[in-house]
Amino acid sequence: MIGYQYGVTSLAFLMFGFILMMYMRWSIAYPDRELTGIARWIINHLGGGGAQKWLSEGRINGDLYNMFGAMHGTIMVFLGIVPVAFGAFGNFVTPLQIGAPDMAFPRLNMASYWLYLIGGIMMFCSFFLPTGAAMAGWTNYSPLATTIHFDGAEIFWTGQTQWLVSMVLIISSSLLGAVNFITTIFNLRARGMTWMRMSFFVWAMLVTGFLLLLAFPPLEVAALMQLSDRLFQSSFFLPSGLVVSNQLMDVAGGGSPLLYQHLFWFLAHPEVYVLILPAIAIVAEIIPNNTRKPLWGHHTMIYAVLVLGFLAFIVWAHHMYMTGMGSVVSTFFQTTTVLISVPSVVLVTCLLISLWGGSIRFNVPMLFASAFLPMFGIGGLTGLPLAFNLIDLHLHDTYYVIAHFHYIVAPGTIFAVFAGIYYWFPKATGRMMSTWLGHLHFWPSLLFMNVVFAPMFIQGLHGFHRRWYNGGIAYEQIAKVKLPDWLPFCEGHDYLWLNEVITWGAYGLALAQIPFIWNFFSSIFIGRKVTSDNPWDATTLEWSTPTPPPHGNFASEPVVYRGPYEYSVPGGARDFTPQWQPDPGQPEPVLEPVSEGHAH
Amino acid sequence: MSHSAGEYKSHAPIFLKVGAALFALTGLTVYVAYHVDLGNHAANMAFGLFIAAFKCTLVALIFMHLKEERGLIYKFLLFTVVFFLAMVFLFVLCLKDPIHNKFPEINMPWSKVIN
Amino acid sequence: MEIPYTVTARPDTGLWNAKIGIWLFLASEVMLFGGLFSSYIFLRVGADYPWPFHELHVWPGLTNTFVLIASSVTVLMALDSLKLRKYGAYKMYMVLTILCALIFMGLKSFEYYGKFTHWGVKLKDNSFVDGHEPHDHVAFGKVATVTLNLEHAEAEWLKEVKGAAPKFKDASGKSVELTAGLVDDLRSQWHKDWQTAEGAVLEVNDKIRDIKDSAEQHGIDESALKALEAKLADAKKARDAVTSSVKLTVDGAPILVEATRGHLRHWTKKELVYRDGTKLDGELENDHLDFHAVTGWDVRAVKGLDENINAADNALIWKYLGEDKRQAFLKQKKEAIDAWVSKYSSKHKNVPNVEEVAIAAALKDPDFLREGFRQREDDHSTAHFVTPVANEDIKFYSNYTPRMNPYYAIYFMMTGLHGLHVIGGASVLAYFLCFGRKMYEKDPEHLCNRVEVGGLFWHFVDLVWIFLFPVFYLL
Repeated sequence: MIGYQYGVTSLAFLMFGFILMMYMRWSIAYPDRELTGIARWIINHLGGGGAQKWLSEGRINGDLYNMFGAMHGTIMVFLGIVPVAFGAFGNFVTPLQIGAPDMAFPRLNMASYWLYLIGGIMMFCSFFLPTGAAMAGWTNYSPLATTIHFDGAEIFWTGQTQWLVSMVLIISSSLLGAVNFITTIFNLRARGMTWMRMSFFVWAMLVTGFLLLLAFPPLEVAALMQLSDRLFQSSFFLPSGLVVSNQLMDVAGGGSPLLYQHLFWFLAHPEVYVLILPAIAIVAEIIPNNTRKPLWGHHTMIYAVLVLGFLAFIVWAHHMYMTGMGSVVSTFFQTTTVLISVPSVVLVTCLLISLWGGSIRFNVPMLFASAFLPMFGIGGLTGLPLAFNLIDLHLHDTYYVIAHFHYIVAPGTIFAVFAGIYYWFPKATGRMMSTWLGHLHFWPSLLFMNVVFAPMFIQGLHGFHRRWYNGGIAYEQIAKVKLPDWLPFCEGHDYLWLNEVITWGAYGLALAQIPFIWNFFSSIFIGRKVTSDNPWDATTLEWSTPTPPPHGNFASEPVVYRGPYEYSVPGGARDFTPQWQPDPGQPEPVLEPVSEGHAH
Repeated sequence: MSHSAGEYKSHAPIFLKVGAALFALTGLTVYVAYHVDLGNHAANMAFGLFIAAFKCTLVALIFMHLKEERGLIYKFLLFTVVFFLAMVFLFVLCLKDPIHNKFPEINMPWSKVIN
Repeated sequence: MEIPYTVTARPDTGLWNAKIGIWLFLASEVMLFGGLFSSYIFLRVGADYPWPFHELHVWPGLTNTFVLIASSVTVLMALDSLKLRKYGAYKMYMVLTILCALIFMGLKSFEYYGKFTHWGVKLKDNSFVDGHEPHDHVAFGKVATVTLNLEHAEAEWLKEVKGAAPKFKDASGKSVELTAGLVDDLRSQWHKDWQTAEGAVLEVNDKIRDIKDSAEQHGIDESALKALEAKLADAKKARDAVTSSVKLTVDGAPILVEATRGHLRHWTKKELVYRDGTKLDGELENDHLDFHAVTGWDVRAVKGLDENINAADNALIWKYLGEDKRQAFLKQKKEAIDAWVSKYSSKHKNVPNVEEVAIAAALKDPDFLREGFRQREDDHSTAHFVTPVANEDIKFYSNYTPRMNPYYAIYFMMTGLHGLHVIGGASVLAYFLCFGRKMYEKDPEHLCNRVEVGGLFWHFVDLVWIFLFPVFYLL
């Protein structure tokens, strides 16, 4: 139930974040064109006087762009992807796959959802404050984030402060969720569900849980410190002699802006893996099911994900090469960053090899899952140059970086999320989603995702900065360069032209989601009813429950006899052998008491 | 683990002893901080932190029964401690001035007052 | 199916659910306080001001340490009694534990109160003086006009006007009563006027675009375009004339405000600007800080002290503290130097001009500076006197709250969060004390488990304090 709530709420936030992005793209492509119609009407209802504050001559101004930019990042990462990938899928699938009746602490689970929802609503409402919402980037760096929105007497009711308060709520929500997930996986596994019989999905959720559990607290600290800086005028992140608007700030100083960056990225790099691991996990379930072959290197993948989880904690400062840390420390972080690509590549390679020689069923989930692989590959490989500090000095804060991580999160994670929705929808509702609408959703999405993000690499390599609200007009006037002739469709155009291409790609992408939205809601009521509890002929435990799973999930206590991916086992009666099916004569597993048990 | 009332033997004496040890160690820390110079300030700091770490170990092992736990809990606490130490040390390492190749001088600030 | 292992342990992990849960939660708490401790180290290593050392009173911290250790023992005894099925003893020990928590929070509030009421002023040359009850009102009189900036304007500043409520006239000479409601009305009127004017601009803009867009088919009607462009310029002018500033003239006698520095953005001899942008024109009468000095002073950070040991002899604070204090300082300094030099020369026998070398070394020694260049906690009865400190000499002042410096900021952040944990832990234990009976009668082992989990959290709170106490009070 909590899984459904998470799912719907976070999809709504994803859509909202998408709308913010469409405004930004308009401003980048057509900085001299006025907003009209509903677009203008919406801006007119933002806080602080609407159009008067946020538009100049009807056009998006820098402040509005900054606000939407900051909130697009925040909403997509903290209110969209993490809740949908971890909160929704984790909550729904994890207990089912390990044979648990529910999460270990149902009330904690509810508290976690409500904290998230309240935080999200506060974040949303901050758009209507007189100051507007936060506008110092999703990273919220001090001192800008501390000193912005400082006019006016009431600092608490400013977008920037509300951002911090809602972040504290959202972080607390994630911490409670993580405790719950890990406990569930540790203690509520069904009989016979040994560690190595757990599906890769569950392993990835376990690692993700630990990433959230141990990486989020430092960001909570940072948020509380920044709150203190704003509300009590302390100087955690404010250096001595700070001048703002030509005036010496009346604060003690002596703090360190760098400290904020450390605390922030100590979370935010593991957060990247929080975004991507559930995606790989979903894909790792769908690929073996539709190739009708075991997952290639199941155990290798498990070890890889563990190594990846460990390394994720010691790579954060590669976001901070520009801060002038010493070469020794830079080298350390450069090395760990390059190292972490090894387990990532292991994961993707295993998934790729799993395709080899299978008779693949290209149903809608599989389409998204197989598109995930090259898209994530592009995103991952283009990340490698950024790991090297010398190259990063050039590419830092350009569209290259934007393209890199969007390839990972947008056609990567979001495609995996779509794949997961199409895959588990019949289990959750008892009805299938329309295949035809699924194709109508998939093919344009794939096309437009690439139209949007591929040109950004070209712009980024050419030095386009990510925070230009007018899309780099000044740059173009000075540089006056044309796109190279060998690029298809680009002959004779300048770099600014790509802005328009990307923007129309984004609008196309928006249109491509309409079939999905219709499909999602209509299939709940009019979708084709499933004929069995296991419509995809899958092997993992969630397909052994009644459909949809009732309270307590299982009709009788599930018992596990085998690994999770036994497809096309030679000599089997069918091309899949579910985990709950015993071999003839196989004894029922029992839980062995811990051998080193203690006695009082 | 579950017990029935019959088989459980009271641990009260050991709890009281450890409690007394914690009291004594606290007294020692305060005394050393105010009345004993161990050569330089860094040595005093190290001593104080060492005693604190020792007290912390006592609390964790005996009061929190870690001594009697096995397996899982140890594993994830170990990682927690590793990440905690990584955080502390890497944060501070980043403060090293790459040009003069040295750390800022602790507690020697007045030579660099800016404003 | 019911959720298993809520009370009994799962055989192969040897743990029940809540125990895993609490240990995981504690792991994240380790990272929470770990983040705070790393921040502490980071701020201390990077500090560019004298790091406060032995500045907090030890006795409340020490007492609190003892109290928390004692409570840790009592909560264990409560669990022990429960396992022996002695419910009466369990209740007694729980009451003792909660009592300890109350004592802890009481002492903590006492400490906090002392800091909130204790102030420090840093002068322009970084010399520093401590005291109480500053009166920081900036007296600004003969105010004849007030300019509101509608973007942020509020009416809060009216509370700082001395005497009867002032009356105002607007530009047209109509008398107005300035209230928060009026400010809101003015603001929405401003928005409305602007929207109308902007609408006119956009309308003309659209027409111009239509002409340009259809140029290919119809050709451009130059004269119409020109007329429209002129119209556009007018419309823009009209829109830009809609201003957010509202000028009010004081009707009657000029007013006097006594503003709190914290509410002001800046002020000069002729104008005073509040944080909300409200501008008052008048004359500055008095911007002294009436300060109940002095409970301590500190000249360690005075500019030039790192090179010249006599740099603090004429520090700004002596202007306010008087010649007696200065002489006392000179004497104290001389004693410190003498002691240092004799100690130094006995250690370094063969150094030529040992005195010079010794003094150079002294200026790099925090202990030496602490001995000779600061004083804390004078005898309150004789030391207190009111001194007006000129605003132009003040660099910064604050009470001992997070605002004072990052040391106090992290002190309040960590002890405050720790205090919240104490309150949370004590509430949970109190819940088990008050409502545990029913669970105990149903399944004593269930209550045992709950108390063990509560106890684990409580020990963690104790454990954090074991580090907090030396880090902030001793080292």
